[in-house]
Amino acid sequence: MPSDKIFADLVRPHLKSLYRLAYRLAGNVPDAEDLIQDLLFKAYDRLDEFRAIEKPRAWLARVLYTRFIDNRRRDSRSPLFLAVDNSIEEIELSSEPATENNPPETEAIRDAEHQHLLRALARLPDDQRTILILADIEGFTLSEMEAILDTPIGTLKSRLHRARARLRELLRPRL
Amino acid sequence: MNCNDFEQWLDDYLDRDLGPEQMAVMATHQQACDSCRRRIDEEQKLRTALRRIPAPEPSAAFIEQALQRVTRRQRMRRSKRIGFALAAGLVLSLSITALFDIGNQPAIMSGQKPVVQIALNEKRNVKLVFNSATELDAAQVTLRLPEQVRVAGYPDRQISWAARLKQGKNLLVLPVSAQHFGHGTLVAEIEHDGVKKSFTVDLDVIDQPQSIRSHPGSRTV
Repeated sequence: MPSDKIFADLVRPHLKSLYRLAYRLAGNVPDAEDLIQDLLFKAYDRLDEFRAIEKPRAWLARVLYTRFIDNRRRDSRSPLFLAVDNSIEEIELSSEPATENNPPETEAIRDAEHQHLLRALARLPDDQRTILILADIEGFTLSEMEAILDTPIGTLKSRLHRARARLRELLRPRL
Repeated sequence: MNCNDFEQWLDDYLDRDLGPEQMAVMATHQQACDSCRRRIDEEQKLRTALRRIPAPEPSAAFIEQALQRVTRRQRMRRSKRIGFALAAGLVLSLSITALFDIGNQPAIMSGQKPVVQIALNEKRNVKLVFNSATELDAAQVTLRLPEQVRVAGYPDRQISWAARLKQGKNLLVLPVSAQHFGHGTLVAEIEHDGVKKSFTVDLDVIDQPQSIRSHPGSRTV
């Protein structure tokens, strides 16, 4: 079987959950899709390693998260460049309705409680927001997060504890 | 156990990360204490709400396209290895769209040779779109401006920085102001892996804004 077919079969079961994670990290669909594409390129380049690991979801999430952090650092040094997706001409020349591939994020968020939660999450420091996304929204275990964030479990536990306490404080007026 | 202890162990209790004896002590306290039972309920509601925050799902088409790009990239790399021109890995075309706001009447200008007109002391956003066939991870972008114009925030005529170009269209917005009359050429140079490509845009600084009728176009270099 050709290696790209082997790769597709291995990665496909995880793509929906990784796409959700990419969206939660990046905050918008085009950047999330770019992250997923980058993840697939990187994971394919390391196919031998990928095939051998026991927990592919955590391994893929680590590659995704590392890419997210690298992109943020690099993009902050390129002040004049705005990387956009391939629909640039539509944006410039005409007003296109949202397509199936790019549902407007606002339509997905109707619940006022979700909006309140998202506003509170946005106010957290990056490391606290990330650990809440991984643990309490996407359901990764401490052991998986140790691999994704390359951080000892003890440190993660205290960070998670502080993140949850901080989130509760930010939400307090409505509780 | 008192309520302060209960609050301290609340997260670990919900994570089931306590020993069996301590789990039992927490459960007993929760049953006996209304206030702590309410805290547990609140915390469980919060965790449920977090898990339910919606996120979009990828379409089947996106997944298939993303996987196909992996295949195509692999094929391109194999082509490079058997001796195709190095420039095959650096295929850039420059589509020029220059959007003008003249009294809320945007106009797009292009032609055989793209020329951007700017009035003296006017400020415009000149948009260059670099269409790259592959992702270029560490490309060096250099802009050389003619003496007639400057980019807002950059006093020098040469601006250079490292950038990552994505596969597909990459938008560069130059907030340009015109300082002297006359013609000049803006040179945009992209260098990656020892390969360099240059693109030129003619700039014409004129007396006052003119309304320009044209159609969008692109030029492959």
